[in-house]
Amino acid sequence: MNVRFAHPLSSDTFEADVDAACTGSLALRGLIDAKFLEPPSRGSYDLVVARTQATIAPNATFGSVGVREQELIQLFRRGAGA
Amino acid sequence: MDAVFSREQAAGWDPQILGGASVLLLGGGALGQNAAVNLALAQVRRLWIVDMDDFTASNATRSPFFPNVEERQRWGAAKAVVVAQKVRQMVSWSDQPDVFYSISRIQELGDLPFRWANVAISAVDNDFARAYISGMAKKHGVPLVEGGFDGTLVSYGAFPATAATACWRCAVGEVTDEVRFSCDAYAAELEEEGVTPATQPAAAALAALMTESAIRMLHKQGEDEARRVYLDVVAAQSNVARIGMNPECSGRHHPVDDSAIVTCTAADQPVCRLLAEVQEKLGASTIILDEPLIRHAPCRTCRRAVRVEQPRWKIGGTPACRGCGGNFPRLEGERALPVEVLTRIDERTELPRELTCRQIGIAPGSILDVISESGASFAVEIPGRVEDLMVRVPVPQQQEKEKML
Repeated sequence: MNVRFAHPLSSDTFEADVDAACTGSLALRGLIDAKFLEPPSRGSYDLVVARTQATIAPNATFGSVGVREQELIQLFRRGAGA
Repeated sequence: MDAVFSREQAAGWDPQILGGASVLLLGGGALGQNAAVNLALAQVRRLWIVDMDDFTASNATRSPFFPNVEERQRWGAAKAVVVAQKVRQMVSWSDQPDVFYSISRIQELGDLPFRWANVAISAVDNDFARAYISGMAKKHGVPLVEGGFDGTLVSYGAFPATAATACWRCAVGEVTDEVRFSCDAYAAELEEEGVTPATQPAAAALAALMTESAIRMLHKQGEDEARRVYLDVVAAQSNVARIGMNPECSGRHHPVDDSAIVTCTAADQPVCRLLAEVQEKLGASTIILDEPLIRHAPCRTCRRAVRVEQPRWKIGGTPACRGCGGNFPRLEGERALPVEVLTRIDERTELPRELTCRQIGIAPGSILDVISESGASFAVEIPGRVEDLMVRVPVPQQQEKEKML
């Protein structure tokens, strides 16, 4: 299915064809490899389905969270500093 | 309406609820200190601050409680002590909160802080500690608010105590960060990468949101689902995400069974004695460790096998043998072995006879999950008193005179 990823810091989006069995961690790896995202030095990125506000855990699949065709997936930085 | 709390009551806070609350604050860095300010002014009954670090110069501009020279001479540089002392001074007009501190990693204190707390606020800087705190909070039915920042991008998670709601691990997955950096090392690393660590406004904004969330939890609000809030402090934009239960999550989601507690061997007694006593009382059984025990690992320099026999959190990274400047003895006659990690122990586990429960991470007051050979679950309690783990900050006589409440 075709989905769009929204960059955490800009208005840029990245369109990708993902399988329902794709996991959150695989998706993030793909976005970093495609240089849409910078590798996180600390913390990580979180994926959130914009329509439902549901998070996609690293080991959860897009299908299990109910991602649909043309879905917008938001990306957020989850900081580790305190 | 109480004159002192009139504004807070109008905002929906109940001074009686806050006045009876015990808040566990994990971390005395920028985030923790700003949270401590809010909690003290909110007049919670008790506040316990846990941190193992010292103040360094790089902390100053984000630390409301950074010590001056005289304070450092009086209290030292340990964040837990200084923050506890100064937050108590900040509310000298009141006898609340009662402030306690521990200079310690949270893992070292075991279950007792979570058995004591009505709510826990995690302001720690590494995911191993976050994972541990998450498990303990669920184990003891304590609502948890956890936060972190990346420059001016801040986020926090609110995890209700309600059983079968998501834990921190549900959205994070497996923790893979191997080495905990100190604040100074972190700051230096980020400066090299051109990334700015958090600013005081970011820390204060995040702490405000987290404190408000913790107070709502004390009022039994927002208990139906875990959520995470993301805030860009510069753009003033926020987003909220729901965190659902993750069926693949290896974290804990249900509390320990209080009704099955059996008092056993003390923490400073040998593990073998604990195992024998458990077997005597419950039959052949397995003790589940809250934190993995590293038995052997290859030296980070020479790769020869070293004996570790400590919980993962104590090591703080890949160990080194004594020949390479580290503290761990080599296993004689052995080549490099893969890491051997134990997550459970029983009578057949080979451990040195003198090794104590505390040394493998079983602290006083711990409640251990035990599975019998028949599959029945029990909870076994190690004796311990919370008073032995914390230091109370006395209220000076002068403060008594200044008290207006």
